[in-house]
Amino acid sequence: MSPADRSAARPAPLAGVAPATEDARERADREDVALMLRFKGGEARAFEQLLARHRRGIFNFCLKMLGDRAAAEDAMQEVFLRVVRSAKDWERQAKVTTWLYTIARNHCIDAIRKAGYRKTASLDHALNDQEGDAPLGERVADEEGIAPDRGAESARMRLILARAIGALPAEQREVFVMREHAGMPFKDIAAVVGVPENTVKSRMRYALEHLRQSLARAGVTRDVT
Amino acid sequence: MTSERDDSRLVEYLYGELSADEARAYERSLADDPQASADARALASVLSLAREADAPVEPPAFLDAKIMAAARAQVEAQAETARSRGWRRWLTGSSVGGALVAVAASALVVLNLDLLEPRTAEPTAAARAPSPQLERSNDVVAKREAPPVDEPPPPATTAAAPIAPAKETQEAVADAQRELRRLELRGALAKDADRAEEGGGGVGGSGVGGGGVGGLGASRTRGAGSAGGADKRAPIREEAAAAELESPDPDARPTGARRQASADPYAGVDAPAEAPAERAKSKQLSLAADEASKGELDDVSGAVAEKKAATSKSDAAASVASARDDDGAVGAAGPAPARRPAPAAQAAAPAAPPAPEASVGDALAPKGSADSGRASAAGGKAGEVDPAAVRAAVAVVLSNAEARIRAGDLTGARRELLEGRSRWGTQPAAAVLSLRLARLAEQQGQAAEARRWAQEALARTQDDGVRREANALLSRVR
Repeated sequence: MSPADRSAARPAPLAGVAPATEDARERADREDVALMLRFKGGEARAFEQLLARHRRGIFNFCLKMLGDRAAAEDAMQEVFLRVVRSAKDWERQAKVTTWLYTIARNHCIDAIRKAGYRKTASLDHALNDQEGDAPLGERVADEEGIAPDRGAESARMRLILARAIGALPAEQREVFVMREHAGMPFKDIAAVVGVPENTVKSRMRYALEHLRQSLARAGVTRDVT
Repeated sequence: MTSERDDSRLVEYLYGELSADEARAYERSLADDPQASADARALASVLSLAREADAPVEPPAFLDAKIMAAARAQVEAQAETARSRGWRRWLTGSSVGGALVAVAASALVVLNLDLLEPRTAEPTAAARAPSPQLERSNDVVAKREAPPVDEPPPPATTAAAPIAPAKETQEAVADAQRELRRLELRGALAKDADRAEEGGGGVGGSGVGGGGVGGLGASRTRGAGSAGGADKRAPIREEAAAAELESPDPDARPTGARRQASADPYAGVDAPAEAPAERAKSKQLSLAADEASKGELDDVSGAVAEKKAATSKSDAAASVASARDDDGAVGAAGPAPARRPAPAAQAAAPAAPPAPEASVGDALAPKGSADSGRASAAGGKAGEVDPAAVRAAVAVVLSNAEARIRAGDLTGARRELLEGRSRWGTQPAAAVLSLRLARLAEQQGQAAEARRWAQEALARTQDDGVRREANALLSRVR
């Protein structure tokens, strides 16, 4: 493999989402623990900081899993309300991030079950759409909304990608979202999902493969074929 | 077909999780396999594309406010509990001390009484004479009959002494318990007030969960079992808590409130602010909904209602199950919270003007319009629905939707309107919901959808105002 190929084979790291190094992750977790303990001790402001750190990741996870903005809002609210209620008895048994995403995942699974989704099916197949509108994979894109001030091409790409992610099987989608939006290491994702780390990585690989095929079908040819 | 190990290796490489040596070794292996190399490049490209295009979505700010309100209420409730616990400990300590003093005092009293026990009068010589046995029995009789000369009267204060501290202690403990209950209720009230979301869960959202197609009133009176039920119960607690706060003695709660609470838990929750006309509307709504809940509204999306009722049962079961789930934390959550608290407060107060559109409001006015005529003339099951109740319910849906729109939550407003339409859609008065959906779609640039809703509104109603607006919208979006 030539040096150019070598560099092309490694995507740019995702900046600004989560700490990349193990040390940074450990530090972040220590800070989360400190905030939880302060909140447990009666300091509401500490919880505000905790919320600010994790609200976006949790919301995007729920949005991608449920494909409905209103449901994602409910889910996010539920996750943090559970944290509030559990705070007085909270003891550190896992990383705070792992705990939060476990709550979020369980809630999303419950919500999906209640809506009659099949466990391993993609959102497109499982949703009983009362309105007869587009499949949920497309509605995920619609729900996220495209910023009107973005270029048409990037808006189109965003839509295509959102649909592609929405069409992933749930077990692949959750791994993808936790890694890409929450920046969680695969080890922590494995703890949340309850499978070995290698299985998580395998699911990630298949998620990328699925996305590749979806993008190719949508006519996106930028080195994905 | 790749093995899980191969997949892991590739992902680790893409995410830079291999050491330098491992990465070089992997690259050498890729170089020997053109297909694998091409796959790796392609997947790397997908990942880059995903990171560029799939920017995270910002959650709405109002959620933060609600969550923080709950957090502050929790902190406050914890602090109150800690304070009252300290108070109770003090009281318990003092009552134990008081009890010990009382026991000691009563022991002293008993001893004193024993010492002060009156000596019986000596029997007379004549009584002693006949026989020793008789003498003895006489002695006994004499003892019994002889009035105690020096017996002091039972000291009232001493007898009372062991009781008084205990009684005072009991009263003090009861007072403390009432105070504690009051504080807990205050904390619970704060929590419930925070949970009462603006615009809430909508009329149809979790409202159907309790009683099927019962509409607002039925779901409220049934005390829905769905996850929304927890929040539907919030106003019950609020009313009960308010009554209890006003009169600390639970037994002294006004009988009217008790009767009201059992018959119609949601009646009068907003009574102070409600005008008599609106209270009558609320009552009418409840009655109509109760009637409806007996299965007479089969024409209103029965299948949807049944599905939602079934969903609510599993919702309740799943909520309990998920509340019991081990989420990795010690002491997991308590009762499953509702996701979208039903706007029982808003529903009970349809006094708020439904929408800015005068024509829509006119359509909802309880006059002898063509709509109500049609509804009553239709006969059969539709005729059994109270048009005024439907209009009131639709007004509430519109009001909630407008509140959401003002808050920038267009998606939630749309959902609100859709749920109302699915419940009341066949009623002429609900054509305004279709019209509002049309306007919302127009706002969002969805011309086809706007046309669809406007046409539905035209098909559903003969009301001039609604038809005029629908036609105007259709001419705009053409």
